[in-house]
Amino acid sequence: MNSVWFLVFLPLIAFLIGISFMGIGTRIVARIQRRYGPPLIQPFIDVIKLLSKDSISYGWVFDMGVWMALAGAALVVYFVPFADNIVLSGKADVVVLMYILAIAPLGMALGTAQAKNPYASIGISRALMLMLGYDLPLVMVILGIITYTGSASFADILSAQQGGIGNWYIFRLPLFAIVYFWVMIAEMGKHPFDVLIAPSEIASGPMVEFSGKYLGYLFIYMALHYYAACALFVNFFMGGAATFIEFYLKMFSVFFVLICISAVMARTTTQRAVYMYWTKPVVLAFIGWLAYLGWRIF
Amino acid sequence: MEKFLVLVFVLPLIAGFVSYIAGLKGNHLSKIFTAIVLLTNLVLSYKIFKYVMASADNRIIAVFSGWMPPLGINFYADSIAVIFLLFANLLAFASLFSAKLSYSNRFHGLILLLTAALNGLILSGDIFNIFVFFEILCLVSFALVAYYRKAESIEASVKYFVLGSIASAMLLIGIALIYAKTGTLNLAQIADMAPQWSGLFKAVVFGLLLVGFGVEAGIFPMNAWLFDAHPAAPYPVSALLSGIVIEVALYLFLRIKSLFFVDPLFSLVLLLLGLVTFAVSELVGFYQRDVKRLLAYSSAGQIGLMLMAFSLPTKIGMFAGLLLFINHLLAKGLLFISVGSMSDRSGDRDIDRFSESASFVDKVAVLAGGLSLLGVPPSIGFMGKVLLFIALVKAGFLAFALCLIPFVVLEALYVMRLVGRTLASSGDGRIECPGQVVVQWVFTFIIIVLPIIVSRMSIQTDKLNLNGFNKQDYLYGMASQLLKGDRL
Amino acid sequence: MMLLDMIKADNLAFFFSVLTIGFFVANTIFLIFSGIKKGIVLNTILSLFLTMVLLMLYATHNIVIFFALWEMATWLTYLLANNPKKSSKYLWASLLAEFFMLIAVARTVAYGSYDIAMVAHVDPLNLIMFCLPFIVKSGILPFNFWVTDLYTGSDKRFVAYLSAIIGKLGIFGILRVFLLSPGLIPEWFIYTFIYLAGITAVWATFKAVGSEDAIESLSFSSLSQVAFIFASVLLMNKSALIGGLVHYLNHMLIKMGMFMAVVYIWAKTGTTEFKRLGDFVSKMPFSFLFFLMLGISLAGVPPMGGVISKWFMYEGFIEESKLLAVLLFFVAGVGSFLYVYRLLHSIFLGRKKPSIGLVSEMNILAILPLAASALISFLIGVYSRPFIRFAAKALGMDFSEPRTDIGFAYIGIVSAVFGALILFAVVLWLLLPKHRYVPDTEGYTAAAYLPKDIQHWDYSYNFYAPVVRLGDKFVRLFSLDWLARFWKEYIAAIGELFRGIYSGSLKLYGFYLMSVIVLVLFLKEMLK
Repeated sequence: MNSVWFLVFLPLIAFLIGISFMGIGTRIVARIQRRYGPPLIQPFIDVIKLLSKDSISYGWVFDMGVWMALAGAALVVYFVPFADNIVLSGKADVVVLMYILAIAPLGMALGTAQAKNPYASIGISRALMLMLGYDLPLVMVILGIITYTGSASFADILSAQQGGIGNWYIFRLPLFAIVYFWVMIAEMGKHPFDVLIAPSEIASGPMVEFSGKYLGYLFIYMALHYYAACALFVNFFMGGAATFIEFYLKMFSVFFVLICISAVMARTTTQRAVYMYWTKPVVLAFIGWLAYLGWRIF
Repeated sequence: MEKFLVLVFVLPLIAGFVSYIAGLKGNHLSKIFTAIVLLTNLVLSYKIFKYVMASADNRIIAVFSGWMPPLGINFYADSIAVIFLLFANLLAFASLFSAKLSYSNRFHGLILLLTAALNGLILSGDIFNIFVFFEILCLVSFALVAYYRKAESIEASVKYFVLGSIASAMLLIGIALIYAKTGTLNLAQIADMAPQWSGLFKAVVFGLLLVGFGVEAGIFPMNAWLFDAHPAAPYPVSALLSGIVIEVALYLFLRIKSLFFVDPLFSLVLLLLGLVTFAVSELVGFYQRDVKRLLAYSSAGQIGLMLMAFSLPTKIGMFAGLLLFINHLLAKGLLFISVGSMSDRSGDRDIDRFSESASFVDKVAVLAGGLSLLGVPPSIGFMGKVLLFIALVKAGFLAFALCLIPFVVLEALYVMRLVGRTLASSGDGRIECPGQVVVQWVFTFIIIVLPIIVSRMSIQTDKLNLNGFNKQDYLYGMASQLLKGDRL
Repeated sequence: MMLLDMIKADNLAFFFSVLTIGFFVANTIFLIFSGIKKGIVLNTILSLFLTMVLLMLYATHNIVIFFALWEMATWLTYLLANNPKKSSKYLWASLLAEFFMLIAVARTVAYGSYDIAMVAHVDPLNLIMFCLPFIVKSGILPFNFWVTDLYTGSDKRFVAYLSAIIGKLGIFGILRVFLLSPGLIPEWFIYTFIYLAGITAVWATFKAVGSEDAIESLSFSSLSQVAFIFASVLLMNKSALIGGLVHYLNHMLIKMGMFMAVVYIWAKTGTTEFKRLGDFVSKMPFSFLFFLMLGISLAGVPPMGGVISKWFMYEGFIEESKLLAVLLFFVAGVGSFLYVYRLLHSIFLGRKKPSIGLVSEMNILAILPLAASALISFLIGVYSRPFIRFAAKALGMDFSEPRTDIGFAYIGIVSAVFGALILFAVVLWLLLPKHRYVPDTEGYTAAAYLPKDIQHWDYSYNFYAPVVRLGDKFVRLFSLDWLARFWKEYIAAIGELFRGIYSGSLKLYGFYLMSVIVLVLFLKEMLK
């Protein structure tokens, strides 16, 4: 009974966690920039406000896009272990996860396309290219972890990291952790890789034509995405967590480091970003392969 | 049957002169007369073909004037000879039938003489007889090449004439040497005595005969006249020259070589020559812009392949050579007739402009002929090429097979270039001569149907009902046939 | 009936025959009802002939017949493509490889057998020579130079057949030969070609991403997927083989459907360039829907079928620890996301362009094959067990379900949860305040004035410019144009050399005659 209700409300909990991160994050950035920043629950208020406004739409594909974005983001949440709860899982979680992560952006992209706005199209094209860029080191890390653990199941990955802080993959596979963190910045669309949004350049890119509940849905998607990204890092590299508090704190520490780095960097162009992703993290990940996996990669 | 053998030669010989005289009254008279004679020839050769092919032991020997060999002259028809005979007459008839009405009585007379010479050469069993018919063949070809009396034709004919004369002289010296050494002119008898010749003698005579026949056959490097003469001649003559004349010269040379020069070294030399002929012709042919010249290079290349196939000592090789011959005759005949008449109509032989007035049947013919020539399955050319490769590898000449590959591909490219240009044209031309249309459709039909007939023959060629260029076979055939009748 | 005997000849033949016949029927139905009038009859007759040839090819075990049929297929493809100028590279590359196959056939016949199983027994080189046409047909490096020209120049009525069936003939060939010669395949061959196929897949994906024409994009996508299937078949690992065959089926469906949509648009508008198309979703919603489903399948996203086959193939590679190869193919997979999105964005979504009118939806009979392929693709995604069994049976493996660990049930759960979430999203959307639909002139323009012809207010040219710039050197290197130019000049030089042989001078010809006699005299030493 308890677990069924938990399953149903999991996306809501994840949403709240994500919203809290967004709120605290903007506050931290403001402090770094020597100002006060908005209230902590500002993003939450924004979402409620957006959901209660009128909106315009450009067609049924536009509508379908936001449904897919929300559903896809929530779907991801179901496959990421939450504290001590593996949620839905099987023998090849990680691989399924890689595919599911693609659904939500696809939805948003489709919706954007029907909006017919060139700013939006530019933004989406940059987002996709960035994805091409960071997917290479990402998949190297994932493959490395799978091969190292010998299994693609979260249960196995988590149990391999039990038994003390020294067993965490962040210490056993540090190169992979660094690369994965590097990739996470682009995945979440934060500086210096927020060229897809580029607020002052392309008027926030893909989201420019979304308004009202559509934009609200996208905000929810972003919050869920923040949660998913941080939770994945915790599960992959920090041994999961036994309780909710521990889980939240671990995720927040990751997010904190990310936000600090992101707050002080400027935006890079797509070409530079993709080129960078294809060289430096790839080299690191490759060294990681050789160091942790030996010669059996060929 | 012996009478048919003789008739097949004598009839066109006499008819040639009669046709010329008849044509003095009007071209159509000589054309009709020639057509009738050639048709009769075709029917006769078909009858002979059926008889000989009925069983591997069937041969026909015709003896002239009751003088028995080796004193007298004989005609010898075994299965390989009758195949050549049948197709020679078929092509002769077809090219005449497709010729424009405006060709004069000179043309018809010469065609008949050409047919006579061809038939005689294929059948003859006496070496000096061969020389005589060969001379007739050469002279008639010279005249036919120069038919148009334009500068280009005359130049080509003169080149052909000079080279052909040197060749005939070489041939005569060779035959004289043989006669001096053996005292006889009968092929079978000479074959008996050939193993006793010294190495030097064999080499000298081989060289002389190689040059003598090789010039006419189109073996590298003596085939240079081909590429001027075939384009310059009128299209029925080109078809004949490419389709049968050079093949018959090749056939003759191989017949003689198989009887007198059985050393495997000679086979190797011929294999090499064949390979080089093929390679050089295809390489040079790739760059041609004149369509008839392009087809002439293709002919020389196919001769190279046939030479390779026939010089292999196995039955597969011989079957491959036969298939290549039949394929080349049909395809090249068809191509020359179509392409030649197209270029006559548009007045230009350049590859970009020749097909301006192509008609629908031209397109079909060129497509069928081109694909068959290249050996696209399921045509006979394909079977021939596959069997050639299998024969080469089986006989241990893998390197030769490998060397062939790039040139076969080159040939495919330039022939398809030709076919492609033809197909790309608008196709609204009209052909004035209905005979040509008939010939094109019939040949296309044969090209399509023949593979079905041939494919019934087993690929295990040991079971084939064919004699080949085999010395034992020839001698046995002569002896058994002569002994059969009570003519001794 | 002879046809039935042929199809049932053996399991592998059955698999391929069923797929080929299915494709042919669907494609013909589409072509007939699509409203394309010109040249359909000749195309259909030749395609029927080609299909028959292929069915015979699938069934035969005799190497000579196999060779003959393979060559017929090559020539028929050349003829059907109807563009001699652009197909010539394909022709000579295929012919060259086929003659090597002929030599392998001849050597096997000399060895004493006519059976395909014996080809590898002669020696490993024989096997490689026999398989050369398969590699060339699949367009693997270094034999990928003909792909661009043939696909872009080909007759549009034939390009679907080309992509869906002909491009994958090489895979059939490899399967047929390798399955019958276990243990005789040299390791280095497999290694080399797996990595070559990987590079080909990445190269082709880059070319597809940078392409400005729908058909070119789809063709390179084909090449990329074929390279992937080729590599997994080469691996000879159970999972990879099954994945490869299921991907064959998937890819055939995907490309068939996608090409149908694009060819229909070409037939009605005369163009397939991205910058001239746009907003077809308003008049062709069903085509868009099916195209979208197929595109999702191509990108390998659940719940469509693409994910199942790709999963198996990746698993095969991981089992064999070929992680580098997985990486290459994964990059190709991510790239597929890019070009699928471009196709959707620039053809169906986006803004209507001035020069092209909008086109009405396909005839119900013409859209039927497209719908069928999309729905079957979906079926493979959610209920894949029978398809996997079909592929396993074709390979002669029995597929007893140890694969519940990756779980088809699992994909079912994913789909169910996803469905529920979509439902939730829709319901919430309906309950929230109303939205209204606006025409496309009501866009955000950052306070700029809209151009007079609003149709130009669109971004559909040079869509992925940064990545194209980055990958330019790599793409150029592996397009092998530099190699082709080198060969062309080399052969031209040789040709010039040989042309002098037949210079036209009579003296030279006379000299040739004399030299032959002289040379033959040297033989006297060797004769006795």
